[in-house]
Order: sequence, then C-alpha cells, then structure tokens
Amino acid sequence: MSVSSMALAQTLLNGALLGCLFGSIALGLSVKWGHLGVADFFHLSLTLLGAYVTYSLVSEQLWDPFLTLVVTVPAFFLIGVGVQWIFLALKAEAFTALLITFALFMVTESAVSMIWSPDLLNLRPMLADSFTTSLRLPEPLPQLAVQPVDLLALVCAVVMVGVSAFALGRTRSGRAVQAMRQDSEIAQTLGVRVVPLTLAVSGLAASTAAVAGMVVALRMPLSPSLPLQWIGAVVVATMLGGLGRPVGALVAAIVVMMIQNAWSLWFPPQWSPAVAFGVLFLFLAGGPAIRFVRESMTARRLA
Amino acid sequence: MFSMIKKPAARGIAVSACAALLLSGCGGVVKEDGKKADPAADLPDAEIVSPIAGMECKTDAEPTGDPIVVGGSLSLTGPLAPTATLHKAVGDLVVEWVNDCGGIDGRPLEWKVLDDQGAPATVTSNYERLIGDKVDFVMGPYGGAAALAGAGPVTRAGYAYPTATNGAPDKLIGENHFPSWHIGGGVEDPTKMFAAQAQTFVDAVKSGANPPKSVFYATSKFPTTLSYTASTKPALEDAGAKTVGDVEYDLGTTDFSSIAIRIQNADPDLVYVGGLGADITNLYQAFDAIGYTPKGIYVALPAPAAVQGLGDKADGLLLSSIYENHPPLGDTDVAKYFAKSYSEIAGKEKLFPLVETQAAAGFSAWQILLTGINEAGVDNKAVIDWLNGHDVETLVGTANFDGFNNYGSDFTRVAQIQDGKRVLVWPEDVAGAEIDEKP
Repeated sequence: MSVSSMALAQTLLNGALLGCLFGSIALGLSVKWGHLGVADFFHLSLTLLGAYVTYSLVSEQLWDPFLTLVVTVPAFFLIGVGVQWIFLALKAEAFTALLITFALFMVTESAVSMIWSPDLLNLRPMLADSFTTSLRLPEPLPQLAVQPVDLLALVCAVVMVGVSAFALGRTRSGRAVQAMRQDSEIAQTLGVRVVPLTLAVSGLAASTAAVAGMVVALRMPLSPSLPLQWIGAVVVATMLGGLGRPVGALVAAIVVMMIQNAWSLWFPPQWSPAVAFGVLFLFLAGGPAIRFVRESMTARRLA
Repeated sequence: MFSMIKKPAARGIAVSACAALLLSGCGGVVKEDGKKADPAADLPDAEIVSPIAGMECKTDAEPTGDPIVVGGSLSLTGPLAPTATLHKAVGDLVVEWVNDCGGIDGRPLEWKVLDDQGAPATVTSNYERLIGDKVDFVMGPYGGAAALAGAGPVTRAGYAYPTATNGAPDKLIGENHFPSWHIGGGVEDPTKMFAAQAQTFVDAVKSGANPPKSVFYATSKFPTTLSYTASTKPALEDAGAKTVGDVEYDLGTTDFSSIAIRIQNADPDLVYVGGLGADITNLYQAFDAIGYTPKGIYVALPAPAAVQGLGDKADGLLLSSIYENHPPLGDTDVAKYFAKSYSEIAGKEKLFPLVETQAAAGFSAWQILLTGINEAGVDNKAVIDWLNGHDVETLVGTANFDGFNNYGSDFTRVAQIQDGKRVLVWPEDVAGAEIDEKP
C-alpha cells in the first residue's frame, strides 16, 4: 500500500501519543519492578480502577476529571502502601509477590464487573466538544491533528516521568532507593530506613495509576477486561526501557507504539500486537549478540 | 517523601497543574448538560400478558408444586460478560414474568445459571453438571464457541437446546437445536449460511438514494464477523461496489489509528466494519484524532452501549440487527411489556436499557422453549418433536426449524441510527423508516 509522508507522520504521531499513555502506566510497574523487585500486575488493575472511579465521579457527581485526582491519588497511595505492607508482612519472595499481584489482577476484573457493570462505559458523550475535537498543528504541519486528550496524556506522562526521574536521580531519598535496590541490608546499615521508604515508593507508584486511570477514562470506553489489552505493550515497554528507569519506560512505550502503528499502516494490522514482542525479542537477543561481536573484535585486536 | 521534591520538581508540578487548569478552562472538560439522557425514559407503561402464544396469564394464581428448572451457562465474568450479563437479565425477567402469570401448568419456573467465564471447556462441564443435577431443561449459552461447547453433553443427554446467539450456524448441532437468531433462510448447504444476510445488506444499501460505489472492509478476527465479511464482500462487488481496502485486526484491538488512516486514504463511500463490542467507538475515536468523517459506515455486531456512547456522531450509522423496539415488531402487547420490564431490570444491572438484537434474541429463545413446554409438557423428547413440527411465534418473527442445523428463517435486518434512535430500515415489512444515505 502506498501512503503519503503525511499519513505516515500522522500514524507516528498517534503512536507516540498513545505511547505516552502506556508509558504512564508502565512508569509505576517499572519503578516497583526495578526498585522493589515486585513485578506488580495489580498496577494495571489500579489504573483500571482509577478510570472507573473517575468515570463515576464525573458521570454521577459531575466532577471535573482533574478534581477526581484529589480523591484518587491519596486513595491509591494508601492502596499501594497497603499492598506493599502485605508483601513485607508475608516476607514474600519475588515469585510469591508476582503470584499475589496476578491474583489481585484477576480479582479486580471481577470486582469491577460487579461494582460497575460488565457492559461498556464511556465518558466521551459527556465531554465538551472542545475536548473531543481534534486540533490541527500549526504551520508548517497543518495536515496533522491531535486530540486534546492525547495532549493531556503527553503532559501527564512527561510530568510524572520527569518528577520520578528527578526524584530517583537527584534527591537523597532517590539515592536511598537506588542504594536499597543494590543491597538493602547494607543500605539499612548505612542509615536508610528501608521499610518506610519501600512503602512510600509503592504508594507513589500506585498514585501514578490514579493519574493514568483518569486519562484512560477520558480516552477510551471502559470495560473490566481492558488491562488485558494493555498488558503486552506495558510489560514490553517496562522491560525495554530498563527496570526502574522511568524515562526509559516512557521512551520505550513511545517507540514501541510508533513501530506498531507504522507496521499497521503497511502490513496486516492483526499482527501489530506481535510487533511489540518482536521488538522485545530482538532487543533481548541482540544484547548478547552485540556483546559477543564486540568481545570477538577486542580479542582479535589484542591478538 | 515530600522532602525529596525540591524546587525543580515543584516547578514541574506547578507547570502540570497549570496545563491541567488551562485544558479544563478552555471550555471545560465536561459538558454543562453532561448527565446522560435515559434512552428508555419514553417507554410507555404496559400491562402484563402471557409471554407466549397459547398460554394464559393468570396473575391471581400463585404457582405451586415442584419448579420446572431450566439450567444454563453464561459468561458472567470475563471478556464476554458485557453481553452475557444481558442474557442473564433476560432469563431472570422471563422467570419472574412466567411466575407472575401463574407459572406453567401451575408450576413455578426456576432458572439456574452457572458462570463459565467465557471458557468453552467450562461451558461443557457446566452443562454436564446441570444435567447431573437433573435440571428439566437447558437454555443455550452466549456466543458461538460456547454454544458448540455445550452442544455435546446437552445432545447426548437428549435435551432440547435453544440458543440465542450461536455465531457458528454452519457447525451442525442436531435436531434438538432451536436457534432464535435465525440466519440462512432455510438453506441446506452450510457453506451458504451467511449468504442471505449478505443479500439483505446489499438490498438495503441498494434501496437508498446513494448506494456505495466503493467499500473499505475492516474486520475483527472473530469467526462470526469474518463469516459476515466473507459473504458480504462478493455480494457487494457483484452489486457494483468496488473494494478499495480490506484489513483484518485482532479481537480486542483498541488502537485503530493506522486503520483509520488507511480508510482516510481510500476515502470510500462505505466503511464496512466487521467489528463487535467497542470497536466502533475506538474507530470513531481514531477518526476524530485525524479529523476524518466517513461518508457512510456499517458495523456488524456493536455493543449497544458503544453505539449509544457515540452520541450525535452515530447518526446515519448502519448496523446489523434482528430487532429494534418500534412498530411493527415492537407493537404487540408482549413486546411492549418486555420492553418496559427489560428497561427496569437492565437499569438495575447498569446495562443498555432498550431491547435490541441481543435482548430480543435472548427473549425469543425463551419463547421457543416455553412454547415447546407449554405445548408438549415437561419432557425433552416431546418438546423436541413438537418444535421440529411446528412454527413458533417469537418477538423477532415466526421461527421455523426446517433448514440446515434447524435454521429455517432469516431474521437478519439492517438498522440505522436516525435522530439518535435505532430504527430498522430493511427489509420493508419490518422497517420503521427508509434508509438514509447521504450523497
């Protein structure tokens, strides 16, 4: 199929903006997986819960979506703290924690079905036209369009990832988290309060799900099984970006979604979900191959 | 933890807050009249009547004795739950309705449902369990794969097997199978099962002022929608509509941006979406993102809530249907009572409150079973024999079981959203309005 450069540019732009949403979701997963050693699939469920709570507060109480964050962010912080406290109380190993979060993932889907409805819920008809009508980019690219909700996803992703990266890299607490990641016992000996710090990191990671959930509620129709649609892209972005690296997760999500969208423009779209895993496979397989080539060249030079 | 957030981070938070306020301030995010209108608000009150022909409704008689138990399996959780829950609500309503009418031959009706989570293997074991529990009759599950999975134990045990939504009509179940969503028009060749629905669609678009000359097909990789597209595409090509694009996408796809751009490039007269569930919502979202408005669009099996959620954008949308709640089909006493009662129970379950294809198919399956029991008694063999020899009046039309796999009629119709309402536009004998095809 022949496509114009503008069509390709629009596809890549759409992919990048959707990648921002998936990057926001991957942020919490990456931080918990990388720094606390918990591959927390429940984080995707929290994002879904955030979306449903946003839906209820907006559709039934007519709250502004941004105002819902006043409720959801602190509430999710406490949930994140609570879940991590359970892991600590159970002295859960990584695999046990993974199983627990997977169980919570499944339970949440059923709970959402029962509390709200298994039927589709959609905030879109309630949104102002100014929020659902796409905006044309200024000259020299007036052919390209973006939706306000996608710009919101971009802003939320950049802010959350930026703050997380800054906090992890430039603050005492962030450096304490990094030290804890490398060796928690030595970090504790050096004065790092491991338990409160772990609980706080888990709480903050969960809080990001509240923000991502708000964007989800504004962006797409809700159904309880929605996290199953995200899990591939989010996990791939988390792993590609490097565990515990917020910027990496966001960049990886953007790149993966751009590649996936570009693929769908030329090739059968039904294969696009496999593209994300193909990229991950190439990345994982490519690492050792590049290392092998580099070491061979070094050995040859030395010989 | 907040101590770690120093000045630059605080600036970031401030910037984001400003951005959020700016977005919200530009006309607001939510409409001022944002509360959703209830589409069932205008439904008139209706008097209770017997749900089937040939049965008297005795509202002053309390049913007594052993209940007649109907067992069923539905995916009350899992990806199929949105629609399966609707069928559970229909079953609950019918049981209450029959018992309010004094039961069947004075005996109360009972409905025992097990959750299969959308897994065919669980459907099979659920029906084995129900048969082991000696339920008197069974009602089919939701979906083609589930219907086939349940057919084995049900047929082996000699039970009648009414189904509402068997999306695989070309897979033989047997003489005990009594579908309510009839397709095929009585053909004996299983490879031609979807030909009648394709012809209905072609006739519908040809009946309008501007039949499409070019069509773009986007089809979900789901057996029923693939069958729909496979039969409709050659029929439309024979009618002179050129194919300008044809893509398939994975079931559950939420990002349609590339498909939308392909459609925009082809700019067809008609976009044929062989989609289901929320596909149409996500596709419109992708159209919105690129600022494209399709000239004409048809969708095969959308969730009613998804169509409702499109608001004004859905106007003109064509969709596959077997029933919409308006005359002539909706003008009977049974249809009026069902519409009113269903809107109440659906409201409680937070489901789409109007009777459309799914609810109508579910209710019609119950009408087939109840008619069989009423005429032949509480005996599966007698019910199977009676139904195979007689027509049954249902909400969606007169069902007969004369063709392949007991599909005798074809109830495929075409509906359109006109002024925010769902209305049948083809065939003419059930239409509530003419098709509106914009130039």
